[in-house]
Amino acid sequence: MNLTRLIRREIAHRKINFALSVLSVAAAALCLIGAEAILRSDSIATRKILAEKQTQTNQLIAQKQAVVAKAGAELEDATRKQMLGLGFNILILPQGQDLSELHLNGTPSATMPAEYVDRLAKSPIVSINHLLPSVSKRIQWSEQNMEVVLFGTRGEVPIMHQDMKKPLLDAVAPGQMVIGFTVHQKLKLKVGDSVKCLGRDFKISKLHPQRGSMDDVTVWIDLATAQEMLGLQNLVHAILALECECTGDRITQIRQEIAGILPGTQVIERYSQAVTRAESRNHAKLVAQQALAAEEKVAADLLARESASRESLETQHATMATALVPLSILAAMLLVGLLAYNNANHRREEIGILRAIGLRASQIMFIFLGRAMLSGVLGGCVGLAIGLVLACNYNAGADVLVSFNDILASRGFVWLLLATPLVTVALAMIASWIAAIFAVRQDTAAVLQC
Amino acid sequence: MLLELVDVWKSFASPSGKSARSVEALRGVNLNLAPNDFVAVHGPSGCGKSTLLLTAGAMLRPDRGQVIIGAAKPYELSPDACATLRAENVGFVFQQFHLVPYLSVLDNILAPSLATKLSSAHQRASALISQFGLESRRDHVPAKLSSGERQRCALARALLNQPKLLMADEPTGNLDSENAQIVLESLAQFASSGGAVLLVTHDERASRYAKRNFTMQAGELAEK
Ligand SMILES: Nc1ncnc2c1ncn2[C@@H]1O[C@H](COP(=O)(O)OP(=O)(O)OP(=O)(O)O)[C@@H](O)[C@H]1O
Ligand SMILES: [Mg+2]
Repeated sequence: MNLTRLIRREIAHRKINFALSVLSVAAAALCLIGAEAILRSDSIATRKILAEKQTQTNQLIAQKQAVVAKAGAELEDATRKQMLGLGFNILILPQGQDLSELHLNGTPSATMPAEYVDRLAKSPIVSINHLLPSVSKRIQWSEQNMEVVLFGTRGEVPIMHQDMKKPLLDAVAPGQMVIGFTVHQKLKLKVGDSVKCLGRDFKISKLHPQRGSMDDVTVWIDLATAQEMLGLQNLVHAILALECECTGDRITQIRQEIAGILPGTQVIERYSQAVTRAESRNHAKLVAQQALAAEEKVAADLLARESASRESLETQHATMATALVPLSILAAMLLVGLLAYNNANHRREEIGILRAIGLRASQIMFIFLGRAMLSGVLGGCVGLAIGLVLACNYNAGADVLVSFNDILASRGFVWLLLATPLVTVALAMIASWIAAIFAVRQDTAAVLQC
Repeated sequence: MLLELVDVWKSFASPSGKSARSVEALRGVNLNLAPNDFVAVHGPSGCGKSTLLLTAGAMLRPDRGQVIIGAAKPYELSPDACATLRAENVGFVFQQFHLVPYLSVLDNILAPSLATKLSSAHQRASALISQFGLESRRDHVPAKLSSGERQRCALARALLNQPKLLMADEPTGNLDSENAQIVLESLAQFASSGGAVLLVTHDERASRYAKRNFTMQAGELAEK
């Protein structure tokens, strides 16, 4: 015989009272776990929904970005091709070059030192790139009995402070010759043919297609050879350049920059409609970029709105839980307390005799609090079990967003589950405390007086 | 002396309110019980018999006077020490039996072992069950027992801790004459084996078993 046996027997004897206590405690535990599971489910769902939306948005933006980037690349390529087609559009000439001569003959005659191009290349110039020094002259190709423009050029001179750019023009190697459309058509020349020009031998390395410009009657050879042939050692007629795709009054800016580096030169701009077209394409690119930015903003706004609506839902649930959980715990405690009081009241005679045969107050307390503890443990476990079953099924279904495992894996939930029986034990014992005190304090003698 | 009551007074406040007079349940009671003593106290209802028993049994503090059990003054001890004193020295039997309703006969008889560290409790309980003819009833709960069986069970419980004093309040009140005889004989046997019995009762048959008979009248005790 011991006190636990006595408690067990008593519980078996007054099953309904005990079962009601257990159920009250279980209800409180259920509320606690249920509320916590719902809150956690909310926050996990929010995280998932927002992450999914974010991914969708990112994908969409990435697609749009790819479109814009592709358009940009195409634009750049188109511009480059166009520029290539049209040639260099900035012409740096010696100050003394008569422009009417240039326009009438197509070729200049005034010269400037060839080292000008190096000076320009070493300068911090930003408004132009692709420097190409050249000499050119309308000559009678006596060997072929044909008038052509002899164009001597070396490869592009890289501008030191700028990134290396893909050259617009390939250099013509010494001893080789590139031939314009009309010339090779008329003379029936092919790549690989050897020709003589003003007494020198050249091998044809490339035939140009028709360009509908002076290029069609031009032959290109390397700069040094051309300088020699024309008696223009260390001199050039012009430096061709391509203006940067900058905005504003470019030509004024270019002129200012070049005047600072190469005094005694003049600058003219050719083919400005190409630039206009490039500008309009640039504008289109800008519009596309702005559209993308607007799209990004809309997506971000949508995401923010979704996030806000989830937050408000979570707040609603949290508010409900903060009201419901303490209330349910309070109600359970009240009920457990009343049941314990009822139990103690029923047991006055029994307590009287136990006191009479010498049980100490602490033992009487133990009988009542032990019972309460048991109801707390059992109620906690029952509440836990029901709570888990409900939590498992709460989110069951085809379009399950938050699984029970997600909730279980969320931080501290397992601890909450483990702590629940402890909480309910404390709850039941505190609620039964008054009843136990009542049992201990009651007037034993009065009960035993026959 | 196993029990000494010296000029013990006890009064109760009237339940009807402050203005009414209080009830004097014990008025200067003196009583000594030595080993082998069997004292029966007779008296009309309400004369203070139960009050005397509870006061003597360290359950009800008197207003005045001394109660001494063995050498101890129970009302000067701490509640726990007083409970232990009771557990080790006093057995109680009541008219209403006061068995624990959900415990079997065996467990009821063993209940006092909760308060003491009696090593041979089980053996003693079995012996008492045989002594009171409850072998076939040892696993029954009180509700399944007859009145006589219940009182025999209560007696066995009172004797488990081998007390020196047995206090019985109207133990035959609910019994037929056959069972009443068994109970009274048991009390006499307890007294003759070295214990002391304080029996309060209306039952005139008790005077035949008691060594000394007292009458109680309005809280005052007098030897017959
Ligand atoms: N707790 C109490 N409060 C108030 N009055 C009490 C209390 N206990 C007993 N009394 C009164 O004290 C007197 C003596 O009571 P007690 O129970 O000792 O009588 P009794 O002789 O045992 O009676 P009975 O033979 O009917 O059992 C009675 O008048 C009773 O009403
Ligand atoms: Mg009485």
